[in-house]
Amino acid sequence: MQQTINGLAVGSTYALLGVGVTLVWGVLGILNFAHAQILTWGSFAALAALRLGLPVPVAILVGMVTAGVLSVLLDLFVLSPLRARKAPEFSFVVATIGVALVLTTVLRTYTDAQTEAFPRQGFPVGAFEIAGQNVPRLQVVMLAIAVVAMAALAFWLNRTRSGRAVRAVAYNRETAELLGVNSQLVFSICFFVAGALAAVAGIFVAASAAQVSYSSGDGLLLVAFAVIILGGMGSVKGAIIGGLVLGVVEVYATSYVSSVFREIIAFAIILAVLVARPSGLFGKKEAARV
Amino acid sequence: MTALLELSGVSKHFGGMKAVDDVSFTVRQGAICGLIGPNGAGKTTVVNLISGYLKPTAGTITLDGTNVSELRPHRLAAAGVARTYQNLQLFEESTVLENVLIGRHLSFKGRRWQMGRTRRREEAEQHEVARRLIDRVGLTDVIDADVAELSYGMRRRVEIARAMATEPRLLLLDEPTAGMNRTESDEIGELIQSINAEGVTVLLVDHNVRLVTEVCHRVVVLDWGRVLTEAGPTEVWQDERVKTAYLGSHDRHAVEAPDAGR
Amino acid sequence: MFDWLEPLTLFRLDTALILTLLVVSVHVTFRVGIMSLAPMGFAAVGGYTAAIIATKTELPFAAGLLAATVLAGVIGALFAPPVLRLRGIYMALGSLALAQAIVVLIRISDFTNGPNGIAGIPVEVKTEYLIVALAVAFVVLELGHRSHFGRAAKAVRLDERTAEGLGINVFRVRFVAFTSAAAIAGCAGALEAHRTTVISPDQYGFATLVIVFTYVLVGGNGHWAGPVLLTWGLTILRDLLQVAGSHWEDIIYGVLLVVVLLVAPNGLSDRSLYRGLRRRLRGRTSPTPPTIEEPAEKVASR
Repeated sequence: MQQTINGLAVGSTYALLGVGVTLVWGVLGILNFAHAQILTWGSFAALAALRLGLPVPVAILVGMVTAGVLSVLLDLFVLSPLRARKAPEFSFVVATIGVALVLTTVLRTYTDAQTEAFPRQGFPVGAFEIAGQNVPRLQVVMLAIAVVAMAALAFWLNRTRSGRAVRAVAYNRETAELLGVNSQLVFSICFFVAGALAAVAGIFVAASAAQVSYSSGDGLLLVAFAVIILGGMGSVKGAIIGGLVLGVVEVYATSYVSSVFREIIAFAIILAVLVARPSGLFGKKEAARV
Repeated sequence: MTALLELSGVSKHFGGMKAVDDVSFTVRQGAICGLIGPNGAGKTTVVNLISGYLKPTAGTITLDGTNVSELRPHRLAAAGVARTYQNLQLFEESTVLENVLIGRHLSFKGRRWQMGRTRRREEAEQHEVARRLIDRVGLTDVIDADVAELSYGMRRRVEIARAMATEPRLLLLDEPTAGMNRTESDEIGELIQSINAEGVTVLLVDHNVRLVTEVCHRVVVLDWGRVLTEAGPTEVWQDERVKTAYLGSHDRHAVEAPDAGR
Repeated sequence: MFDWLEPLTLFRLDTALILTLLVVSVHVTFRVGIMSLAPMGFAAVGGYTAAIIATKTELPFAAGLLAATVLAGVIGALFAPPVLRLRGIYMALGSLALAQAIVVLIRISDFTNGPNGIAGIPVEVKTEYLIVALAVAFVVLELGHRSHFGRAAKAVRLDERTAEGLGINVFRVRFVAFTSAAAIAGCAGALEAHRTTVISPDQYGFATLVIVFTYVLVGGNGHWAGPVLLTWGLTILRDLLQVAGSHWEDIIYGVLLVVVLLVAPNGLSDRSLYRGLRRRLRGRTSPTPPTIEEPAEKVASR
């Protein structure tokens, strides 16, 4: 039982990551390889806020805004000009890789490659007792917040005007523009949301581990990609389910097999899904294969 | 009569949609066969099936007695099937000569690591063959021009030269005169006939009624993915069903058998 | 032969030459249009194979080098069928997953000494060997470039489906390119291991990938000399500026990559770049390129 909750908590972190990435993919058709670094910057921003004595919720907010703004800047100054030049798909991938490198290096220089302690005060500590087992409070809260965030996202996408605009642009950008939607604004909103959600995930990971470093995000990048490939690229529902599944599988696998295999699982899933069913669980059957 | 190409009960379904439904027809060796029909009738799908870009859901495609239904495009090219594309698919960032030379790929016998005189001689020979093909379609003056600088009509001719470079037995032309004026399409017609005179069998998909009537020996009519009829180029226009397919059921008298000017 | 150079300069020269080999590997895949993020994985395979053979067996250096190259090639060949069937972003992800999986396997495995890497690899690589190796590579590249195989590669890159319709076995072209690029990357990894004497899993990450990609993208797809000359030029420049090894280098490369992509999304050898430039230099006002039309009379007389 504890494993399952643990798995779900971890999975919800992954789901938050995946949802952001799939949102950007579904609307813009690009994968942001700088996503992980951006969320690490968000974690560090939250750390700075906490050190200033700000309460935890505010610190989380600071982290979210930082990551969101970084994402938007990436889009405005790098990706949008590329779009205007009708650059080939690979250019976007490489451009985000380049930005990731810059962000990593700056952060590494700034922190002297040291791992910083992430304070846990203010975060839920201790454990709940559920069904006779001790479940860490932090995990449960993480799970709860993630669920709320995803529900809010789903509500926004499906029930609000701006959310519908996002879906319209995802479906067909030109038509949406003809109908008066400002697609650049939609892109910026999507990037902001993606960054903010990822920051939440990153902050919780940092709080769980009680530490954060410039390379904290690296492992998460491929996890995010694994999540969306598993769930189907472009599907928010798929990202949520994919993330939860991946989290649970990982936790169970590491407890029964060996903890070293944790990192392998994400890659194994990516490769297996790409070979067997590239469109994932809920994705559109686009021309992923020839 | 030797049949070079035979389609037998060929169907292509995409999910629930039947793009091509139980199509059967034969193309005689050495003939120019027209494939016509209103937009969406499935003509390009048929061409894609013959050239190996699609696999039939049912039925067989036979080339000179051999079942080629499952073959991939490069094998079909090696078997002597070449095609042009409705949307014109030339290699950009390349010259006319380079485009046609890629068509010569199959006939390069030398291994890639062969150096020296043998290779140089083969290169020279292939260049010469390409040059002759380019002369044939009337593009000698622009042989070294980047294809992006050419007019639409010239680009179409490059594509035909490139297809001919593979020395095909069967040439599939998918709307080669789309968007051309009368003079240009007449030239293409002459080109097709001269290619045919060399023994190349041609399957011509086109909306140009004049061209089809003038140049084709037989015409197959498709509508809604099925064969409507198969007849000679003048008789086919007298068929009521063909008129209806093109014009709808109200204006049947508006189409007269075009004066072929023979 | 090169003893008159300072040891540090010699080291940098060797590093540049090995980097060139890696650039060649990536260039080969780009020439056929394969957008793979896997090269560092194959370099890791090569580096570790050579290192393990050198430190744990009595086999000579040449055997280690050969084994590294072959093993990298074999792994490339094994994963080529699934990876090559993917397109666009899926291919980028699949190849990245493959490379990262290799690195992670190395990091967690005791056999490879885990995250600590392997040290004490004997220095076997002399500059002369590197020059010979590169010379061979260049000759092969040039022969390929001028042959029908080179034309076929370009056709596959530009438009696979049309190339296939003209008789080119697209899968085989890409398979050969992917596998030989893997082997070359493995060879580069092995050479590097024997030059720097220490390897660890962390050196096979994004940083080198970005540098190599910068050179290949900027150098363009037209001719192998583009990326190679660019590699040499920028390496010399880097040494002159003496920022080698500092933090700024990575940042500059990252920024440079982005800037290049903005200016020339298709690489610097893209002809359309220069056409636009030429037109503007000639002062034309019309945006459409002049089309060449034949006079009607000329045609009618054929």
